[in-house]
Amino acid sequence: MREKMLLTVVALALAAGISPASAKEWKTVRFGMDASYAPFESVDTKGDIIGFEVDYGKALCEKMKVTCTFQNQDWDGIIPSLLAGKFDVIFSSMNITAERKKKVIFSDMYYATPIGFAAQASNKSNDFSPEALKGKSIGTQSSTIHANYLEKYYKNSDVKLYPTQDEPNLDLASGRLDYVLGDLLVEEDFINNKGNGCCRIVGEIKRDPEIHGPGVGAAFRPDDTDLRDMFNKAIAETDANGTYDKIQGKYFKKSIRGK
Amino acid sequence: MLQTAQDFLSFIFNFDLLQEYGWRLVAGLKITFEVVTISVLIGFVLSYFVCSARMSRNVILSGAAVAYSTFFRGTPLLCQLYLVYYGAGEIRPFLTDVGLWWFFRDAYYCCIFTFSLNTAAYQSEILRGALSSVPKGQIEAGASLGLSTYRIARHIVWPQAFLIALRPLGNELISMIKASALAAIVTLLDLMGQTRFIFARTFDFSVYLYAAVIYLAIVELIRRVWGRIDKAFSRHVIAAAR
Repeated sequence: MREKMLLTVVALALAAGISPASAKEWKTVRFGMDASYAPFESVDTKGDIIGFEVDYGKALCEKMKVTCTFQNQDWDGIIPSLLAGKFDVIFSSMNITAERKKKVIFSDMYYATPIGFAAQASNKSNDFSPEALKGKSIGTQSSTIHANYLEKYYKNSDVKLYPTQDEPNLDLASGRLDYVLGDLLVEEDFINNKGNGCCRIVGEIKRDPEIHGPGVGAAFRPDDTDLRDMFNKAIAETDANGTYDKIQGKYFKKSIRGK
Repeated sequence: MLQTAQDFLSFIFNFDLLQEYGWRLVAGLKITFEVVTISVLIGFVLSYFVCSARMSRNVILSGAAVAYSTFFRGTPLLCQLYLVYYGAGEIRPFLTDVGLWWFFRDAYYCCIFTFSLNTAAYQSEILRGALSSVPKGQIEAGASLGLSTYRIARHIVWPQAFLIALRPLGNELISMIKASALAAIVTLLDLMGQTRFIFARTFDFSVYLYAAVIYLAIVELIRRVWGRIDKAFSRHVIAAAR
């Protein structure tokens, strides 16, 4: 009996392994996101994931005629989880970088936002050059372009890395950190809501193409080129028919579409 | 098949990774070593007082000690660490007023503070168990010989209690080493923190394997050294048993 069961399991595993990925008909697409990044994705009081990328994701699914599910996934494990098949696409403000392209494939860029520093409201200096921030503590989320940027340019500062972006923001509010580097829209959202005016935006950094890439894209397993093509087509369609503008208007005063 | 075997080997022995990031693992190991050593030593000193309070006849003192060790042994260490780290952030104005903010501002001190309190609770229970396992009759016998309380403690109770406590104290040290990996969550770049950092840069899972091997090696080393110490101190017991 045991052997029989084992055989069945092995056979099933083989069958799953050899069936070519391209033959898959996409009926449901599972979205993975790290919902600690308001207003792009966060968890509301009922426990549902909400935000710009949820609304936009739903609009894309409507175009692609597939059913969508959204699940929350810790940022540090988001690429391994995608590769392990826990969901089909990372739709979580992931910037398209050369480092990540070694592991996943990306759709076209669907948004690009300004990146910059936030500091405590009492800090009046607007100079955020590496020299000015020497010896100061700067926090950001680990495994992000921000972490890579700090590592490259702010070697003489005390860089602290956190599991989510919420945590450096909290530590900035409490005064444990002198600066936070992040997406300025996210920082503004924090300052105006949870942060309660604790802090202010110091300024925007100049994008380093090598680190920041062209902007944010959806990430897929390397085999799922068909799914990526579906997304690219849907992104172009939502651009053309004004859906994108309608959704971003709900969240942002300025356009985040980027070039 | 050969392809997969090669892949597997290069996964296990990733020299490029070690060459580029090996120093980070060493730096992390140093922080882990510091945090654990300092915490366990402070915890050991604290545990003596907690244990004394616990065994005292004063109801308030022993009640406070029971509450202390129940709390720290009954709640997750991660929860305690968050309470200290983010809790301190919430009451910053108060801490600044009493001049303690510099201490709680630093993740390093927060970790040592939390770990010390946590391990003190466990160590005090180990001490208490060891002390109460020394037969009362021996203390009475000592008293009947006219020995002072200090001499009874110094020559009769403590040597035996220490021997009984030695093993479980070693186990506590080992569990603190493993628990110290939680420090990485509050930005400390200990062994686990550096591992997470390297993983974030490379998305290479083998770095977790290296971290696991390093932790395992430390734990095994301590286990063996502790076994030697135990043997050395209990020579007379072994000799008597022959």
